[in-house]
Amino acid sequence: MAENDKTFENLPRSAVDYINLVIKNMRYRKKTRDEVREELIDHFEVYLKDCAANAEKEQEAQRLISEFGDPKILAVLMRRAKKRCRPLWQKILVRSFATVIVIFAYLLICASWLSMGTPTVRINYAQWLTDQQRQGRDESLNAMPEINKAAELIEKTDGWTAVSDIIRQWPGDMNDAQKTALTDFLRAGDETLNSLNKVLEKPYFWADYNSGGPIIVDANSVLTISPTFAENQMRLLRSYRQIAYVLVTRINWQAYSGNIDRTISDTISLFNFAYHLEGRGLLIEQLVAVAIEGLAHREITTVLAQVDIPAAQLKHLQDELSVTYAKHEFPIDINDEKAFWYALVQQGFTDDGKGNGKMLKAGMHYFVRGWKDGIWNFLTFSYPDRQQALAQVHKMFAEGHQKFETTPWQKTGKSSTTNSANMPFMFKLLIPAYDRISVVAWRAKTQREATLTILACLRFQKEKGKFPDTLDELVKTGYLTKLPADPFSPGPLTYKKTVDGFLLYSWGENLKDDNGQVTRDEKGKPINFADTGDWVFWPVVKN
Amino acid sequence: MKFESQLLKGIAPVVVLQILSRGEMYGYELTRTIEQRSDEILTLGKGTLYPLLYNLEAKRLVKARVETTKSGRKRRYYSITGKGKEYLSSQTEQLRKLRSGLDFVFGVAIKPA
Repeated sequence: MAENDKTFENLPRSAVDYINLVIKNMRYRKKTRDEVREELIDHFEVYLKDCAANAEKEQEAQRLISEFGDPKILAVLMRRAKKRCRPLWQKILVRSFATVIVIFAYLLICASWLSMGTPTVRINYAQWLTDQQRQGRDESLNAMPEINKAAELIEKTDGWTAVSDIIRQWPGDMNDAQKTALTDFLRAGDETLNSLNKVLEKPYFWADYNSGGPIIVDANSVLTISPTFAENQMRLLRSYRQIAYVLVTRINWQAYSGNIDRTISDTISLFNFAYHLEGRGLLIEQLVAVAIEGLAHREITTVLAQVDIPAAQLKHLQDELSVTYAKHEFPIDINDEKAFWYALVQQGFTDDGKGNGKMLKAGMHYFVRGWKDGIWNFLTFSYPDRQQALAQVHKMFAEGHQKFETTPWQKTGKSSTTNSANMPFMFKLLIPAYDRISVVAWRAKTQREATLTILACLRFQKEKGKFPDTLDELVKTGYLTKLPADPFSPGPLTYKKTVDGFLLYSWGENLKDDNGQVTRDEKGKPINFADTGDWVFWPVVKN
Repeated sequence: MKFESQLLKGIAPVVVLQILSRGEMYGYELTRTIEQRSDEILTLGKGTLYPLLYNLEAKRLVKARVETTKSGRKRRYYSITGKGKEYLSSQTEQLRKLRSGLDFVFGVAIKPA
């Protein structure tokens, strides 16, 4: 204050107040404001220097103030003009800094927008998935708990480690020590395997996805993807494969030992096991099921090639397999995967109570089309909303279903209807995966047709004394109800009568008739289901 | 005499530069000189004076230096720069042509045949 008094000592109060008001309203750097203040004071002092009395000074000061005009306007004009006096580098620096601040503030707003709102968890999709499979049935009808228990027991069975390396070998190719190890193991695990067979007769199989499923409810009642799901699932599926291999081992041993009834019943159990896992649950579970079914098909054809089974038992097996196949017309059903995506939508979007909502951070990873679209969405607040995301999910599943309903042959020459450019990034990864999975599924279907056909041919031979000339003959004589379809060709599986039997094959993934030639590796070993060459089901291709 | 502000708007910088071309001055001195030289016809509003001077300074048409007066007050003197002189010269020529045109229009001068 003292310093101000000294600065303004020659001026009337009104001039002092006016100058201070102008300087205050300038709102600029102190150094510049001080310069301007000095200049204004100098102007007033020179203007008022000839005034003798204070009253006259005051009057003249008022006149000068009115000539200067509104202090706020004067301050603005002075500030603008002084800003123009800044050197160019300073102007660039200030403008750049201001631009960065504005951009940063905008990005902050964009980021905050995604954090605004919370998801409303109305449905526990883990429970939904469980209920979808259970369909209100009693837990006593569920084969799953006891199958899992059997898997644990098998691993603990004496001799398991010794046989795990030879488990798929034909007993006729084993040495004595291996045979001994095998029989010891089968004896030790006989009770477990017998009870497994009984369990596999149960009609249903469902998992409880609330515990250990892919979608879990955390402590805050929020649905989230389980971080241990993949690990838990792989452990479980590994144990299911072990069950399958153990059943295969017993089938081989029973067949080798001439115990045909038990061979057939174990074979049916193996197919039942695959059936239980198929057509429900997540894709990863079903793919293991298809692999187990594939194993069962290869196993039965190996046994049929090695052992002479009477026609009656062949018919029994054929009838049982026909019933089992009919339970899941197609080995893979992607419907249950929707639970996963519905949970992601629920978690990734708000819910306005009218079926719509805006995207949250959690939804970004799954429903944005790609990084470029992601940036555009981020900057323009144009993320897909809840309804659009759901529409995308339904569209993806419709595309997926279409792939499974169309045979590979029917797809020939047709361009994919999928316009993946407009799909979310995750969907673009999944659609090609569905293409591959559909081939696996159609392959399983082909194996079913082939197995039934082989059983029919062998029955025909035993009862008629010769193999059929054509597949039509099998249908006409009632050994097959219809011609076995080959999804990889325009017609049925290719059947050719040979000197010592018959040849049965599919055109395979290359959709060409290679005359029953399989693809072999550089060592001459046949490659099962290669993408070139034919898939030969009979005779069993040897190395 | 009070002129329409829009009329004076364009010529104020030229007038200031013309006055400063004769020697450096401080703000108050400049306004007094303009009034005196124009026979009180032209008056530069006080609210316009300093913003105008700062703008001319930003355009490098004038430059300023600070001097401490006898009373200890810091006084800012303005003088025209080389660039300012060039600008003044071109604006003066334009004003001269404008004045000729206006003279013809208002019948003060006779167009050469």
